[in-house]
Amino acid sequence: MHYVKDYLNSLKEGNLLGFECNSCKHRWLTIQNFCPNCGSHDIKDTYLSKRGKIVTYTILDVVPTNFKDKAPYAIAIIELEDGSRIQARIENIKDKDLLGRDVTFEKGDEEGLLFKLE
Amino acid sequence: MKNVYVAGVGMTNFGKSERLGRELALEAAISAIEDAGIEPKDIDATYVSSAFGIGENQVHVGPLINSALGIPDRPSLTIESACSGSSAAFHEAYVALSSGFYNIALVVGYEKLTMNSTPENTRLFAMASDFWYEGLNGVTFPGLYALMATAHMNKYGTSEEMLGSIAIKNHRNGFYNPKAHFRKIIDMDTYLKSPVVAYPLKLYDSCPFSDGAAAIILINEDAKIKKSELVKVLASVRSGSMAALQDRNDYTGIPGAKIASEKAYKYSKTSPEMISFAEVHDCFTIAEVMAMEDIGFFKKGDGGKASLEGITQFDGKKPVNPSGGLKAKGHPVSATGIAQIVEIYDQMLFRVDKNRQVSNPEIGLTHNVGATGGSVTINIFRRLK
Ligand SMILES: CC(C)(COP(=O)(O)OP(=O)(O)OC[C@H]1O[C@@H](n2cnc3c(N)ncnc32)[C@H](O)[C@@H]1OP(=O)(O)O)[C@@H](O)C(=O)NCCC(=O)NCCS
Ligand SMILES: [Zn+2]
Repeated sequence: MHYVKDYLNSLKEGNLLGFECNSCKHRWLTIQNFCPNCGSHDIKDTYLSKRGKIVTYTILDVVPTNFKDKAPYAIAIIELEDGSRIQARIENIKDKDLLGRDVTFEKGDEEGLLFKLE
Repeated sequence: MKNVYVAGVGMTNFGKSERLGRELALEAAISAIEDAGIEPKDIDATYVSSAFGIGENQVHVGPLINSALGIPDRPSLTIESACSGSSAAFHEAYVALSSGFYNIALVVGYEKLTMNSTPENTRLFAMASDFWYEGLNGVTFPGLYALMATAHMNKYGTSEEMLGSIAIKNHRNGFYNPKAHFRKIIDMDTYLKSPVVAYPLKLYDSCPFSDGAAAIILINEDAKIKKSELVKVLASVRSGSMAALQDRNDYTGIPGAKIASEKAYKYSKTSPEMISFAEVHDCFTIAEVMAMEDIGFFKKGDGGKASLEGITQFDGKKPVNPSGGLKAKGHPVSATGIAQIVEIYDQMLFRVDKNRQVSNPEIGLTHNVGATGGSVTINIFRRLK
């Protein structure tokens, strides 16, 4: 079982460190020590897949002070190929209709998780 | 359990204020004490809520309020629950009074935000998300609700005009509320042309950052007070949802709101059909749609349509947010939950402007959400004749 710090380090190595439930095989990213699907505590560390589809999204014009230079950018909830769901930022948005679009992991650092449109 | 009643209310103007948060809280507290016809020394315990006190270099505000009221020996509790702090404070007071441990409580919520720029407040508010998995990526609160809006619009065909009808209604009601942040009537064209904040949400879908405070005096049946105009608390229920949006199965509603309202109906022996009017957490127009569906006023997916049809106008079949809601009345986050109860009380005493007075305010409901639903409070109140 890992901590947020290990997750942030995994991003720098180009990986998405998450969890998998040994009981129901549910996979997720956030620090939950009990399976969000079945409640089991029998969980393990795992790397999540790095490709997926946009399930829902927004495009932000008004952004926090520290993201001023990046606006507008999208924030999406992405269903990865292994079924887990994550949230990431997507930059260089030209098209407003992003539902169902294929995306891949670009990088992760102190500005969180960045995916790109395929 | 002992019966619990709201015995008096107070509220500052919502909007931009030059005053300190603690001064606003004190003003609201004193009005509630006067309205209830009691003295500060009658108060057994004080419950205070604020979320961003740190921005004013001031936390632990409970003792400041009690000291200023001349009752420094009374216990105080200072509570944070994102945008639902004073509802959480209300609930704790309700639990203590219904158990009989205390008989009279002061509950006050306040926030002071307008000294910060919008990007700075936006950054601060993102701290109420699951920060390392949401806020860190650059998401904002309008953004989190926009994720829900996209999902709702896509799944149920909720349209821009439907969302617009909520903004127009709440601005209209706010126009007749002398304490509202915005007293400005808007039309559909103004709504549609307003700048995008977090696509698909625009300026007029959003509540503002407001300063303000609201307070109530809550009593149980053993309290000895003279005032007879009381509003009975039929139920106060809190629940929650997975903190990060990505960890939920569905983004078109708030699971904790559904759970809390179902319990609240059960405890109060009421049903959505029996509720005369509601104050709901419309931090964004889509949040009012989801609220009305989660509390069972309308079938899942029908909230937007119901609003466009006018059912939720103050003189419609199911009035929602006759105060102007967070949208127009304003959203000094930790003041909001109590401000909703102030509206229920004032409506039940028939003391609001006739242009937003609900005709038959027998049973009222408040729905207050912290962050994206990590915390939810549902309260149900009854008018006493
Ligand atoms: C919507 C929002 C981005 C607007 O901020 P902004 O663009 O910086 O707006 P400003 O404060 O510069 O105000 C510009 C004008 O719009 C008005 N205005 C500001 N916010 C408004 C709102 N929400 N609705 C309507 N009008 C608004 C101002 O009064 C001002 O009018 P004026 O020029 O006539 O004086 C900001 O209020 C916001 O982020 N709100 C959401 C708050 C939030 O997330 N709360 C938590 C909810 S869970
Ligand atoms: Zn499981």
